[in-house]
Amino acid sequence: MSVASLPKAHTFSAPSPFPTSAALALEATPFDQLDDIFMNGTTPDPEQLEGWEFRGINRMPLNNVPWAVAAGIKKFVKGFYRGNDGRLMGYNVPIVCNALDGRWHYKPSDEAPKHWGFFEVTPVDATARDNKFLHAVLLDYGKGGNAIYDVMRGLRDYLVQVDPRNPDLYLGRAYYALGPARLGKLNYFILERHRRA
Amino acid sequence: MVAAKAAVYEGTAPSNVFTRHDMRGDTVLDCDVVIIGSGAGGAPVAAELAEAGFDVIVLEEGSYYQTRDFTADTSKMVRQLYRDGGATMALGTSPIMLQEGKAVGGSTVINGGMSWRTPEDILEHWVKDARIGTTPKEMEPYFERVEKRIHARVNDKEAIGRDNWLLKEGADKKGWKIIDNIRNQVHCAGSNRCAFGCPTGAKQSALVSYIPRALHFGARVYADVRVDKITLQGKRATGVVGRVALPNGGAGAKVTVRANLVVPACGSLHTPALLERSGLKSPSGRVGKNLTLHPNVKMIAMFDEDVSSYRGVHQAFQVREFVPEGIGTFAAINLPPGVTAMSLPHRGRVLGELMDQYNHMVVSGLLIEDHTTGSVRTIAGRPQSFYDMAKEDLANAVRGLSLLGDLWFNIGAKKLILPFHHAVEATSPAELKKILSAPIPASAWELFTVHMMGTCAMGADRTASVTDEFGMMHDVDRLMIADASLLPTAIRTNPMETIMALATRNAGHVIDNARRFLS
Repeated sequence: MSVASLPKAHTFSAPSPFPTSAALALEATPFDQLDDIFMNGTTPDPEQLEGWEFRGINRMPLNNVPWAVAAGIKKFVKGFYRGNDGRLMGYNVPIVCNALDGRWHYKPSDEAPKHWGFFEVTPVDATARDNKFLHAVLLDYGKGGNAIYDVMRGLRDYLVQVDPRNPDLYLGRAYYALGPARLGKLNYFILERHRRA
Repeated sequence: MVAAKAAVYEGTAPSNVFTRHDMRGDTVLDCDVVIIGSGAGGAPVAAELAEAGFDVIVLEEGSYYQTRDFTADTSKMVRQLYRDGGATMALGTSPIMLQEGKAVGGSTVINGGMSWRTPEDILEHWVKDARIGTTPKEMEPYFERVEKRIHARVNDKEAIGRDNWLLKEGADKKGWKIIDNIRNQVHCAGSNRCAFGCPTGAKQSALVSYIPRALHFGARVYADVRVDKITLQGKRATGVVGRVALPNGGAGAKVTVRANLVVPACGSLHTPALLERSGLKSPSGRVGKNLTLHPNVKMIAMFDEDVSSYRGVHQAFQVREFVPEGIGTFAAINLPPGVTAMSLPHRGRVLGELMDQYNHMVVSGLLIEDHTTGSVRTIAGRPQSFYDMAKEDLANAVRGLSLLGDLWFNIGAKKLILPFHHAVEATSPAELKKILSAPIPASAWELFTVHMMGTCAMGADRTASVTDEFGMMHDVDRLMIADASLLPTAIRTNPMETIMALATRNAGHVIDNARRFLS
């Protein structure tokens, strides 16, 4: 599968409440092909992220094993906002794991979603420890202000835009920091523009 | 006399050219851009960036020579100007001798100066396959700029030697397409010493075109410096470390250069080796892969008349009739007596008698367009190339030799000396046909090349190429390659102008993004 063969996604101005065929196609793409798509992604424009929430789908190494669904993490939402100190920040929202092509229902409720797993969004610094993919942006949970005992602090996600013509669809690759070591790749995840944050 | 000679030479080297004599102790230098190599890739980048106001340092492993240093002492010139004394070899079923320059100016000091634009269909192929922006329209201004800098033009007719006129006569008689060669020269006098350093300065190698321009705009050139590795902070290139190259091959004082941008321009063999020594990996795993060579074979035609091929310009014409068949070009290329004798398969008295006829020889060559690729591996820090000739390329070489032989016999050649170890001569068309129609062992071929390309190929796909379309290495910060290793494919013609044009384009990318590279 290549970027060119992805179905055309929705437009930026009118996001659909459902995952597009492009996002679902990515979710069904074999891991090694996701490697190629990720490596050929482009650097996301932070302005295209800020102020928006994105539907997320975790794509685990063994996709036919529904453990992600069982664990309730197959579907999620990531939101992006500008912090008071000017940093671009983000958060996660747990989502009801209904059918993949169903609506994204926030937990505990659509009216009062839980925000957790905070992260900072930065360009990848070639000289830093987390410099695995220079063409990505880094979602650094270690700098998100999460509690010191929160296991989320170890997450390091790299995010790329899948198609330079489509600012609504992103592919992420997750690692976990254990001291100076980085465990991964844990999984891929797909983000698709959902609604205003 | 010695004093007088010293007085003439003293102080004539530009003040911002430094050699091993200036670096007796460890040296640490700072600059905006450090360029490793001063040939067709490095020199244009140096000139363009220096002119744009960047603080540029050029490091060159070879020594700094000037036009006055280029003499008719071929053996000395080969030792001084050629890497490994011209004895580098690509290993494979048919070993191929590789030759590249090692002096300030790089291989442009020892090439024939052929200045041809990349064929448009090749550029289009790169656009489609490598997904880069090198359309003919995009490249046009860069070719124009390079041609202006190096004075690319046809030769003066009165400077063309008898060997080349014979080639033209033969091609015309056959009705084949033959074109005036375009070379980087200003009224070349035709001393036919291009490959050993132009003794008149007519050939506009980087040594006398781009390097002086770079120096004029403040660049510093450090000759006799062998770069060991690129220094890194994480994935950001921060400079280089090397050693002064001593005349005995040893390593002298340490040279450290700290820079905001590192530009390897060491050619298709040494750039991948430098990356490897520096621990730089490409996500594609393609560093050192995709080696193309334009394998060459030579054929010597013996005439009754005195041809004196040493008089006249190098390659005044190119026969292009068979380019569509994959047989690149035919050309007449004079070799000095010592090199000719060394390349002949004959021995003893026979060789002596043959060399007595040196003035009756026309050395001709044909260039084959690759249908395969080889690789460069780094062994004990040094590059070793591997290349197995494709069967179709060997078939094209046989076909090319057959056509070239026909051309020479058709205008009165008495004998042809062939590039085979098992069948060295043909005295008639029938004999040539018999030799060429019999199976030729792969190991019997005598092949050579000066066009090493493609080992750090450009491309948009990070999983299939080493750099982006501006030579910026994928997944490494502030490292821009600028040499023949960038070429995604073989280009069917002499690559100097292509390398220079791509290097100029790369330099433009740096200028356009100066803030990013200098912060």
